[in-house]
Amino acid sequence: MNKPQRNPEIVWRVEKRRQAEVLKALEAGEDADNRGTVILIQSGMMHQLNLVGGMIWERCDGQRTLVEIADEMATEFAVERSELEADVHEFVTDLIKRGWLIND
Amino acid sequence: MALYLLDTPVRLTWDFSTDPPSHAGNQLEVARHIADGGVFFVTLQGQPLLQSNIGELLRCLTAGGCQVLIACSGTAVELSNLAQVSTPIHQLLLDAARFIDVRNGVDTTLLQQAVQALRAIGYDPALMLTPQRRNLHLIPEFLRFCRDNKVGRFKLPNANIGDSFREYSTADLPRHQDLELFRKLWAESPQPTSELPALDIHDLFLWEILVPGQLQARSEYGGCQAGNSLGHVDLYGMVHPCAAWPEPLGNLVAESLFEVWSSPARFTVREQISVMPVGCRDCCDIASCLGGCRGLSRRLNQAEGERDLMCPGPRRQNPVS
Repeated sequence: MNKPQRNPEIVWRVEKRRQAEVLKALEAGEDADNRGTVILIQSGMMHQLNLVGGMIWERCDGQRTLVEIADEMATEFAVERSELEADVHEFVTDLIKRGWLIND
Repeated sequence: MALYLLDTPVRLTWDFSTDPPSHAGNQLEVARHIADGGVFFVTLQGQPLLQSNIGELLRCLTAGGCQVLIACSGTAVELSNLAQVSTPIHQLLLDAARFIDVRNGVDTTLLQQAVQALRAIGYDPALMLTPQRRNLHLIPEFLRFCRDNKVGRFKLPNANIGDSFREYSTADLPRHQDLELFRKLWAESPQPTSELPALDIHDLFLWEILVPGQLQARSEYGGCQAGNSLGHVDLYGMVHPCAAWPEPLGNLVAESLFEVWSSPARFTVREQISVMPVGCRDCCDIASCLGGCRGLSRRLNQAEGERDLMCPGPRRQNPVS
C-alpha cells in the first residue's frame, strides 16, 4: 500500500456546515465519531464518513503516502503518532477492500 | 449513521416542461449555482433538448462536477440537438409518455424507432414512465419492450404535481385503488421473467408489487428526502423541496443553493417531514416506508391523515414475514 487514491467513479463532497458543527462539538469535549462530515455515493448508495475518516479520504489523492497522510493528521489531532498511523492504515485498508480507494 | 441535514441537495430535478423562457442568462446563472452547490446528479426533465442554450447549460453543469441525466421524447428536433451535444451525459431517459396511444396502448414500433435513433447517435437510453392512473396497466408491456429491445433500465419516478406547478393536474395521480387494480393485473398477466431491465422505482407500494418479498432490501431508505438530499428547480429558477412538493424555498437566479438550503423555509419542511403522518399510526411497516411520498400526501391526502396516496391503510401484520 503506497499512495492510495480515491476511486474516480465515486462522487463525494465535504459537508461544510456539518464539519463546523462537529469541530465545535469536539472543542466542547463531545463524542462526534458517529457524525458524518463527508458524503459519497457509490453504485447509487449514499455513505458518510466521520471527521477523521473524511480527513483521510480528502488526502487520498494518489500523491500522498500513508506516512505523509499520518504526518498531516498529526498536526490536527493530539494522538500518539503510532496510534494515528495504525488508524490511517486500518481505515485505508478497509476502503480498499470496499473498492472506494485504489491502491497505487 | 443517520442522514443529517445536508448543505445542499445531492440530487436535483430541473424542469423545462413548458415554453422556454426568454431569459437564457438567468438559466445559466441557475446552472452555475447548481454546479457551485456541489450537486451530484441533475436530471433535466420536460424537454430540455429544445432549449437553445442547452449546450452551454450542460457545459456549465458538467464543468462543476454534476452528472447530468436528460429526459427526452425522442423527437427529430431533440435528436438533432442531441447530436450537437459534446458534453458527456450520465444517462438519457426516453420518456415513454409519447409512445402511448390512448386507444391502442403502446406504440412499440415508434418506440423502437426512437431507441434505435438514439443508439445511432451514441446513446443507450433508459426508458422512463411517470406512473399515472391511465398508464399503470401498460407497465408489463413496457417491461417486455425493454427485455425484447435490450433496454437496460426502466425508471418509474414519482408523479409530479402539474407542469412547473402552474396547475395542479392531480386527477391522473394514481391512488391506492388504482394500484390494487394494477396488482391484480400484474398477477394475472404473463410477466417477463428473464433479462428484465434494472428497475428504478420511486414509489414503495409500486415497488412492492414489481419486486415482491424484498422489503428489507430498502433498509438503506432514510425516508422522504424532500428538502434534504433531494430538491427541484422549476422553469424560473425557483427551488422547491422536491418535484412533488410545490413550496418555493428561494430562487437560484439571485441566491446560491447553499443560501436557499440554509433558509428557514427549508428547515420548516424538514421539521414537517420529521412528524409522522397521523394516517400512518400503528402501521407495522412504518419503519420501512417512513410515510412514503410526503409531498403528494401532504397536499392531496389530508382526508386520510396525510398517508401516501398509494397506501390503502396502516398494516397490522407484516405481509413479508
